[in-house]
Amino acid sequence: MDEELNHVIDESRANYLDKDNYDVIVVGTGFVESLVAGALARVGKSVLHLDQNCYYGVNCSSFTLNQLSDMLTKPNDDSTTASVVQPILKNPYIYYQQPPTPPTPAQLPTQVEQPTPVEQPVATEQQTTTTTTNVEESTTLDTNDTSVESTTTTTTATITPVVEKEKEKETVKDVFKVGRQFIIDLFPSLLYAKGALVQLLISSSTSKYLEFKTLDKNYLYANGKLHAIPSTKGSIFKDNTFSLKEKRYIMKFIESVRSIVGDNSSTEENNTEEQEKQQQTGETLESVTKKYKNFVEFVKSYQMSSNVETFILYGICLIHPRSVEQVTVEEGILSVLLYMTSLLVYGESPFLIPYYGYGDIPQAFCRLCAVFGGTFVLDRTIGSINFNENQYTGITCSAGQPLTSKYLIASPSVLSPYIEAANLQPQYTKEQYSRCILITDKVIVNSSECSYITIPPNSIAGNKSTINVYQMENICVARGYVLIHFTTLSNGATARDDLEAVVETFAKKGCLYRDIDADSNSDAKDSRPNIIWSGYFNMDLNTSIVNNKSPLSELMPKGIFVSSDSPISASIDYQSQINEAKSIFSMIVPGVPFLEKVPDSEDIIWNSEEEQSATTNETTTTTTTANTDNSNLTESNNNDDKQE
Amino acid sequence: MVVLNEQLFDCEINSIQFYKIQYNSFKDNLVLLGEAAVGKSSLVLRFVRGHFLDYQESTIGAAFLAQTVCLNDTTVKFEIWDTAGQERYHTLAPMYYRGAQAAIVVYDIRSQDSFERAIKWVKELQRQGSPNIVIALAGNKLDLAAKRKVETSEAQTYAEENGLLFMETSAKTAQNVNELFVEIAKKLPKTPNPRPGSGRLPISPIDNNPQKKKPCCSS
Repeated sequence: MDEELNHVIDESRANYLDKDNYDVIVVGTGFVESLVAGALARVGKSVLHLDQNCYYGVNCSSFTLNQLSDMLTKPNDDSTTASVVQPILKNPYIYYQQPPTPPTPAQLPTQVEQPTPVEQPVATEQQTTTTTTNVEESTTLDTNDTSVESTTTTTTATITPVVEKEKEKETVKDVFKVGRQFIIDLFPSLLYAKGALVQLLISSSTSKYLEFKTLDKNYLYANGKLHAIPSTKGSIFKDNTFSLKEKRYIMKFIESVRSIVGDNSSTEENNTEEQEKQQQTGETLESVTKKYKNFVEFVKSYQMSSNVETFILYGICLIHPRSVEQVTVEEGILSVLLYMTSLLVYGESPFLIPYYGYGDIPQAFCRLCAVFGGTFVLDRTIGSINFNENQYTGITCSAGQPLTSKYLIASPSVLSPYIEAANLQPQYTKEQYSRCILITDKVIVNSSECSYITIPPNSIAGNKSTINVYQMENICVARGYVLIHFTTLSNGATARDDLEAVVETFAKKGCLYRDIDADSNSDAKDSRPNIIWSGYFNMDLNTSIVNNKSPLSELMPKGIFVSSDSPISASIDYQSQINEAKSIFSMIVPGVPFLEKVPDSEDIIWNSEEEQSATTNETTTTTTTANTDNSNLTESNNNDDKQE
Repeated sequence: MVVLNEQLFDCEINSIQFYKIQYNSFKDNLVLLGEAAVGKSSLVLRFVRGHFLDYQESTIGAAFLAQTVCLNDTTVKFEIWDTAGQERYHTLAPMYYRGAQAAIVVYDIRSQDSFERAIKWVKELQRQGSPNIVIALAGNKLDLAAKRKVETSEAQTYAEENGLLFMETSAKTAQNVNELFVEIAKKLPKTPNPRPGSGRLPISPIDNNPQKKKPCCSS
């Protein structure tokens, strides 16, 4: 009997961690949490990083097509284990290859969908194909893989626009065969080449874990057409969207924005011009902030044509899909400026895209954390939080193991079940976003493989908010397919309500499809993209109301810090999330530099010992062995198991 | 014609640096995979530094080393990624092996479990890794062959069936360690990889700070 009991206990403790006391426990591997975890480990804190899901990133995560499809088709089931629960995707709806008649709006989904009859065979087929390929894979995987790829390319290429049911099924089946080659971001974004995040990735040495690609083109949808936003002098000359007068307006505006911020990036030669500009305007950031209610008003004060206003408000000033009226003068000006300074840094476009999806960014900071001794456990979260009066003492994790730490960091969605904090919610704005993931056989904007399109409000089917569209080809996608992301702020409507009309416009009417030279060509019709698969869903995101004067964490029991769990930022370019991470970090270790550069192994090889000790942060890394001839791998203390 | 336009999108400082993009600076990423304590770090340290520690601590703080291998006419520069302990609770981030051109999957010849775990990693790499990834299977701790649990023939057969390089190594005695890396280097494509969807670039500190220059290129 006793033995049996012991056995049971042993079983339940099999999942226990070797160590149960840490400086900091971080729950959730979202953007902010990962940043803080990386920074704390970097300065020698012992960090345990848990995540309730079995994948990294929370809302800032990327999935394969098969995973995403599973998440959308399997209804939320609270009885299953934490790893399967996907509470973040609401109102799922999957649709593929249009039957002859488009679905009527009357079919509005209440919640979970009808795809079951169609979906079922796909799911099983997909399983069978994977099992069969598995058998083949065991011998020659490489050749097998490429053959799969090539067959799909050919089949998709030969599909006629005439809709035949058999072929449709083929297409969906085919795309799921290569589904794992897709990297689909839950929430894609753009990184400015000179933006806060890119700077931080570089300064913290985290960039070496990542690879990027520049965006090929940036478009604005206006008056029923796509307009490429020019980024070089050459393309401006060619540009025929604007009249010469309008071009001069834009130029003036940008000059004055620069002078308002006192941008010193101009070279000596332009100094006199710069001074002239200064004299012309005489405005400063403070004075314009006082003068104008919001950025729209500021732009309007220049009395430019409405074309140009739209171009500036939506084409150059890229604020996440909030209403443009909410954009403050300062945010708008800084956004325009950031756009300008980011041009031609890594390529023509001011934007970078992570080569393997946004999910890699939190992972990179998690890796940094692990490199400095952080422990990672996925599929494990808080079971309960332990207090001694108002002082946090530790958690009991979902595997039942009691763990102690000085600090706990988690997002509101993780903490709210455990802490009755009336003050927890109001500090955060809960915003609902509508998303659509579309897979087509052809690009919607030819000429550019990776493009970003901004659709201002009231442009297509009366869209209420700005819609951001990403087109991805060649990266994050299997060969022969194109992945298109649609994102918009939702006013409570389902993703399907918000976006289906726009998606239809893209794929069917082809009005966004700009075939520059072949407009009159009859082939143009055939080259319109077909929808192969599309998935709609909503996401609720808690965005922190950035107010550094009264950090939410001060209202929490001592030792608990709250991080916002939104993958998008209240301000432009992740600046607010980075600030949030910094402020949490500095509350735990005041006065210590945040995410200092990690000495590069190559640098260490070539530096002398003294120099190296100067560059290496003593608190975090200690050089173990004597410097043998060629390198100085830095290792440190703090181990719990021995390796050979 | 309209000179003013030239000012429209100029970006004085940045445009100069545009040309500094180092498209050719790609190195071959090599990742090491395997259960905790099979000797991944020891293999790397033996290869890179030429020495062995009996009690190598669990990897912390480095996990990223560079080493050049000279073959007859070419040199291959490896950037070697260690798992930094993230494999312990099977939480290795997928990011880790995504861009790798080569992988060494290590097991301990004294542990059947570690061999089975290695097979799982091979499958994972074949599923998620780069299409042309070079995979080597290494049975480490050959110096402790007396306590062997995984037969050479078993691993050899598996490797042959899956097109893997295979060697039994000892980080302690250095047996087969250099050979392993050299074999991998031989198998890597000699010309810079025609990478899927060209135009990948690492972001490097090309911004305005001359101090950040790398001290020297390696030999």
